[in-house]
Amino acid sequence: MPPLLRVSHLTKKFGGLTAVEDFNLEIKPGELVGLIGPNGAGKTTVFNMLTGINKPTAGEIIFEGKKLNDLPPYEIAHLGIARTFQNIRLFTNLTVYENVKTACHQIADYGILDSVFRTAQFRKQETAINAAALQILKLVKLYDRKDEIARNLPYGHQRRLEIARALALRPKLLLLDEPAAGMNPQESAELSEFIDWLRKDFKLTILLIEHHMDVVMNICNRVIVLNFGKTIATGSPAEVQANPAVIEAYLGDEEASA
Amino acid sequence: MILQVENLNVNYGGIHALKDVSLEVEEGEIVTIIGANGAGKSSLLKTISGIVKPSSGKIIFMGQDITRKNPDAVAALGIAHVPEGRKMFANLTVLENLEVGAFLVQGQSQVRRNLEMVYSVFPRLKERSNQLAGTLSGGEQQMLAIARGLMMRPKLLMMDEPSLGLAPVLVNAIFEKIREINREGTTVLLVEQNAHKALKIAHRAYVLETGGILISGPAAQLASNPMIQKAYLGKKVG
Ligand SMILES: Nc1ncnc2c1ncn2[C@@H]1O[C@H](COP(=O)(O)OP(=O)(O)O)[C@@H](O)[C@H]1O
Ligand SMILES: Nc1ncnc2c1ncn2[C@@H]1O[C@H](COP(=O)(O)OP(=O)(O)O)[C@@H](O)[C@H]1O
Ligand SMILES: [Mg+2]
Ligand SMILES: [Mg+2]
Repeated sequence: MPPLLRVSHLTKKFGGLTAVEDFNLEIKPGELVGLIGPNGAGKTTVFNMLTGINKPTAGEIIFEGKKLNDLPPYEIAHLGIARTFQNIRLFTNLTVYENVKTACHQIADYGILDSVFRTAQFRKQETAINAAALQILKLVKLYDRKDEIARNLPYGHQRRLEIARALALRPKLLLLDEPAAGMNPQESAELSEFIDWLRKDFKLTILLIEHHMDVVMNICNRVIVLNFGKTIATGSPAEVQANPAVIEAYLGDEEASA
Repeated sequence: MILQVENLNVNYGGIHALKDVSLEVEEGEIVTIIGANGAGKSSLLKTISGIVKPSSGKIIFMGQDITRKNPDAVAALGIAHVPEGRKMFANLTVLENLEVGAFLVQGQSQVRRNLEMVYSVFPRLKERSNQLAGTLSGGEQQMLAIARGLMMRPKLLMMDEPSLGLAPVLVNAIFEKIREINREGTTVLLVEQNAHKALKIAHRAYVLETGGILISGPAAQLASNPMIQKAYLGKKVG
């Protein structure tokens, strides 16, 4: 199977700082790859380049055979790459339901909603959007809170709402930036199951940045470790967890044994 | 008893966020509050520090009723609150942020003494004292948020999810710092999602569930309670 995404020699410099250096990655459809590393290692910058927010200084990003380097963010989104943000970005004054609906509208304008949601029976697009939004809210278990103002949701629920908004774009590749931040071990275990289920049931390909090692260990097929912009390890979760350089730079001694 | 919370109730419009919550903190302790998202942990800290007003109940700090005092008055009595999500002044330097944290401290020489104390706990911040806070790494920002709380030499330091978004190696470092701060004599009330680590460093713990205290006791005892392991430590039991 050809890779869905192929990234070669990707580099990003901010002035004198090399935030990402010679980053390489191939993801096959349906894979779930973890991207870990210390705070400031360059993980979010990789996402920013994949989604067109930061232009690469060097290297190439090929998605389904198409070069993304110079495309603006909205075109990349329409090609099928959606993301969540480490610093939650919601319409804080809108309700949960409205937040998902506005995301649905983004793709509805392109008229592909009917095909992807198989909602041809609805004559009006608006009705289709409402139904799709509600369905997504059920998926992420926020249906019961759909009329609450986003700002008032507990932090962990705001994270789930972010995922809902990304799903509303019906992506092929989903980029999750620290989705388990602010969740307790039980909640992050549930989130792991949810992400794994999304991957299987929706045949989604996922790139996941996460500091909760239980999540990474449980669901990633492969893991890439960044430190100061450089890739210091790649391999199965068990391999990278046992890698001395990863323990030194990222895990710390106690965590490796825990 | 340094802090005593009695039958506290908090309502946001129709939402009953805290229901008859009672809790005690002894001088010198680390007490942790764990619970799922939405349980009311942040609301509890905000009510103690005067940001949110309770609908009923009482908060006693060192013998004084502080239930309806405003945040400045509560801070002046010696309660520091490090809020969720490392709020700081991104366009001020580390040093300037720390000085803002000392706004209630009388006299420049006292501010300087407190600054030395904070720098001795967080030497990294001393190295970065002239760097803009917004450009610090996540771990450094969290250290600054805690350090700012320490600048007023609080008797009680309340922290809301200090480990959020930190790499594992930094999570260990932050918990080690909290222990150190406590050993130096500061009482700590710690809200944490990382229940494993929180129960490891705390003396006692309270579990908050949908606004009410479900169970409380010595931290080690709760850590070995199968119900807690299943619901809050993510362990598969049975
Ligand atoms: N827009 C920017 N301008 C200047 N420096 C930046 C910018 N974005 C990120 N950086 C720097 O790049 C490095 C990598 O940051 P980031 O990708 O956010 O790390 P991570 O997500 O791994 O914590 C950091 O040193 C950060 O300060
Ligand atoms: N300003 C507010 N207005 C309305 N509801 C709120 C507000 N702040 C918190 N809540 C609600 O109160 C409950 C407790 O929230 P919070 O104290 O933030 O919980 P935790 O910190 O344990 O995640 C949640 O249901 C939340 O949605
Ligand atoms: Mg990041
Ligand atoms: Mg909270």
